[in-house]
Amino acid sequence: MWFLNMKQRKNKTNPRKFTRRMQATLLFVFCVVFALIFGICCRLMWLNMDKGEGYGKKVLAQQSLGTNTNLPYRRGDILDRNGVVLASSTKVFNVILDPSIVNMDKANIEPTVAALVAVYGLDANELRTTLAEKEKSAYIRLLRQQSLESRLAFEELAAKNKKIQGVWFEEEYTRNYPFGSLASHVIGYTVGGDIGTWGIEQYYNDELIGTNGREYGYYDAELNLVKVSKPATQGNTIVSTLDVNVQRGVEKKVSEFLAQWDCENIGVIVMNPNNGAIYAMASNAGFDLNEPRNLSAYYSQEEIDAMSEEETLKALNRMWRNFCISDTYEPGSTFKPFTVAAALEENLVKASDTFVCDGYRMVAGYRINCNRRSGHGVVTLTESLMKSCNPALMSIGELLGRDSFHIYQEHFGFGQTTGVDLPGESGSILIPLEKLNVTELATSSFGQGFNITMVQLASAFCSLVNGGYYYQPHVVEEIRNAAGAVTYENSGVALNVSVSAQTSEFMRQAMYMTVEGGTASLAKVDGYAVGGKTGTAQKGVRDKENQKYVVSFIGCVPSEDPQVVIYVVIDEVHDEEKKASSSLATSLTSEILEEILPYLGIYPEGEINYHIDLPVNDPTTNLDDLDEGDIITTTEPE
Amino acid sequence: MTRDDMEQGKRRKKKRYYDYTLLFLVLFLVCFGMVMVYSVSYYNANKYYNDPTLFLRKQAIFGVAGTVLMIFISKIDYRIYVKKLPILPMKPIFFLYLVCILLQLYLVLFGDSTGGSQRWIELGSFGKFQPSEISKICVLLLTAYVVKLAPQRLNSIKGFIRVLLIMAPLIALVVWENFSTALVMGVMLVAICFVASRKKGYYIVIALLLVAVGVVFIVLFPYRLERIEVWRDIENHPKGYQILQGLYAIASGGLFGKGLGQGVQKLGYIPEAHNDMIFSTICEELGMVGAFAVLFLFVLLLWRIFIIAINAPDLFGSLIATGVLAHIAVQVLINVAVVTNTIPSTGIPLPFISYGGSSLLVLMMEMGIVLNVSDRIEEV
Repeated sequence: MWFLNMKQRKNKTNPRKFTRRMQATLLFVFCVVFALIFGICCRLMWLNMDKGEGYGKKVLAQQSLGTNTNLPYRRGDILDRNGVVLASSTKVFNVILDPSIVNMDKANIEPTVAALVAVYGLDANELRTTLAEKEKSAYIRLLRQQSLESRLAFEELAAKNKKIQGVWFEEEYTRNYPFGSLASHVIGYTVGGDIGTWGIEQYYNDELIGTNGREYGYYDAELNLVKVSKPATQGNTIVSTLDVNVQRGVEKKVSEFLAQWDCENIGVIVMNPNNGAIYAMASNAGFDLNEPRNLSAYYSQEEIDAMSEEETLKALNRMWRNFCISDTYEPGSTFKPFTVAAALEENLVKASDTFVCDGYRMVAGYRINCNRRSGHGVVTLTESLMKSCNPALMSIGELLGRDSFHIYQEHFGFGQTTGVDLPGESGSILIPLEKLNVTELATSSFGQGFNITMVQLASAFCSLVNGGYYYQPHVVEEIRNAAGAVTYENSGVALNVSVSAQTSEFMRQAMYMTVEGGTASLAKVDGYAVGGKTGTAQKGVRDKENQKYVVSFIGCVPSEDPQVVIYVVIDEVHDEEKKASSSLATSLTSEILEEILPYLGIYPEGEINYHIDLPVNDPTTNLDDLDEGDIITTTEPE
Repeated sequence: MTRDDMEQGKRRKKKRYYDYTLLFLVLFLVCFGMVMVYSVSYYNANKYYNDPTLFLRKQAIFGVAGTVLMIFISKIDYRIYVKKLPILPMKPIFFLYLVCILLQLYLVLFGDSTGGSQRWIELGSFGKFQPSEISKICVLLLTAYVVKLAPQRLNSIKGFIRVLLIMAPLIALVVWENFSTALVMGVMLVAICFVASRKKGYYIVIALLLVAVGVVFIVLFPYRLERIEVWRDIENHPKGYQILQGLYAIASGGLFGKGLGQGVQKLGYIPEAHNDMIFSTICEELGMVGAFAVLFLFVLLLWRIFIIAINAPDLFGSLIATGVLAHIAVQVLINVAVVTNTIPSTGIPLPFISYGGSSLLVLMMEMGIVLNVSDRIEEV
């Protein structure tokens, strides 16, 4: 064929030379190339001049979206006084699917779906549908709050198979309460992992929360991308005064009590009289802090289902209510020590004074009974407490007079909030001075006719037995920042001096004798010198047939130098026989003390050698008194 | 002739030209390319392979291998390719032609495994090998040889068609899987013929024919039509993403750029930014000044090749240099034109700078041949 004929032909013009003409052609080609390159340079300039600003902005707009990530802070822990964790936050991961990445290569779809199914048990078909329907989407939250383990398992799969794409993890924290319902009213719970809604979680929310960090980029004056990572400020750690073991002991005994007896409310406070630190505070059965809206501890599933929204809310509020600080009631005889202390302080009575009890006392035409209708006869000041004698107390109240009485009531902190560091504390209602007439003064002197809260009485009682210092009750003793430095410390704030050391000494002895030989003998604990006072108070409307009672006991251990004050209040026992018997509260106290004292480092003394020389006429206790408690059927017109 | 004269003549004969300027330009561009490949790829290499220098290392291996190969080839007489050698039954150039045909045939017949056209042969740990790159050398040498044998035949269109028909089987096999490479080959072929022919008139006919072929091509393969639509409406067309992101990079560079390594468009916005799109990052990071400097380096390179072409000792050497000049010029022009959206997109790398082993190796082999041509120039 002609075109394959490569035999060269001889040519006179030496065709094998690169002729001048060819050189010229090549120069022409070179010039064309040069011209085209010049044209492209012009195009580049045009792009920069014409589009530079607009495209530059687009570059910035694309960038700033991609580099802004939130670094969540960790909410601080809540510890008990020994460092046991009561509440903590754990990092969890939200699983985010980015279909736009997965769909970049169709071969990614099946391995990614398979990995998600294997680790998280998601539905494969649903995932495929999502990937197909939201093809361009970049953010689909598949699951919330998954564990670190599951994330690691997934990332292991993804490391092995490059086709697993478009799944990433968003960090978040959840709140955990390892002890569930323990001290639920004090610790409180959180909503959304971050908003303290009750107890310490609410009161100290500002301390517990931190500040989110952020990772972002910005452009400096020369349009350089500067990446900044501002770490999160972690929340502070709260060290509470609670003692897990004491709290657990209290709650165990309370639940045993609730299993046996049906009552409206029950509250227990255990605190240190020497600094106001609350070791334990229990109200009713509590609730699971991990599921604060779960009513199943109180109601059956059918009942819960049947509730209207309003009823559910009411039931929840009832469950969350902290009886120890939120409810007010008439204290009854547990108030008597305060009347006696006030009279001693005013030097109106002394230990050797005697009072006559005929079983009742006429006040402004009303007959006010004693708990023992036959009367206690002649009682000393100590015996008035030991036997909880109402007429003797009414005499002392009269000696004080309404002005002094009212001043002392307020002096002991009754009628005001204590300022305990918990949300929901109630004030209370005292009888105003202008209405404190003889009858009111008479009933008030033995604790009827006005309302107080448990925490008020417990704190005031601490000051009676600790030498006279009123400490503000508190549940938090220390706050530490993330670096471990202490930023706040509360080792007890003495707000004022309530009584003199002598009065306090008298009170410790009288309280001990009340347990040893008086109405509170059931509160005894083997090997311990327990002191205390019982109380049985009429509640609400005075009604002979269906009278309701609040029975209580306040005590301290050991009597000579109290380290623990315990206050037990049982509201409306639904049992006709026992409803007015403070023995329920007294024996419960004894059981609790036996359980918790070793945890507080207070061990049985064996032989108790507590020398008391208070004048007493009749050291024996009439057991009838005990059975009847100190019932007051008062204010019936003669 | 005196002894002195003889010695002088000998010396003069021995004194060779060897274009060190060209050698320096090539090495500079290769090194600059590696710097840019690293700047562009470190982010994605780290993100997807956990190894920021992955692409740099691969490119460096080919850069070193290419340099060794270039210097080695520059010492082999280029005329050896068209001499009959005792170890081969045919001239090396025909042997190369045969090998290229077989390799391309292999790809056409067996390369369809992943669906769509496959452009490379897997070489296990050596990576991938693109036979079409070797075919470029084949087209260069064979066209130059055929034209050299009878340049006067090109004075008529018949002579041109003869050359075209000789090269047609190879180009046709290449066009099957890689239009861009075939285009580069075609330009080399036409450039060599154009320079060698005394009569230029019929090239207008050829240009018109090419336009007609192009139109037929677009009609036959609708995806090419789509590329034209993308080109005309780059800001809104969904498939214009890559080019548009490149344009963002170019336009946001300004006069002096954001600084080497400071570009942001390569951080996941420009897909495959280290390959064909590398010029957009050069514009973004080094600005218009940097881009013009790079283009100026290419102009210098072409100028040196032009000088070698017009001084070559024989027609074959001149035509080889012409072909190489056309090859580099067309790749630079098409690549930069695509990146700036001056023409519809087609995948052609920027010579010496874009990431890609086969392309770099073959270019440096060509430069080796041209250097050898310069080596044969005798200084007067």
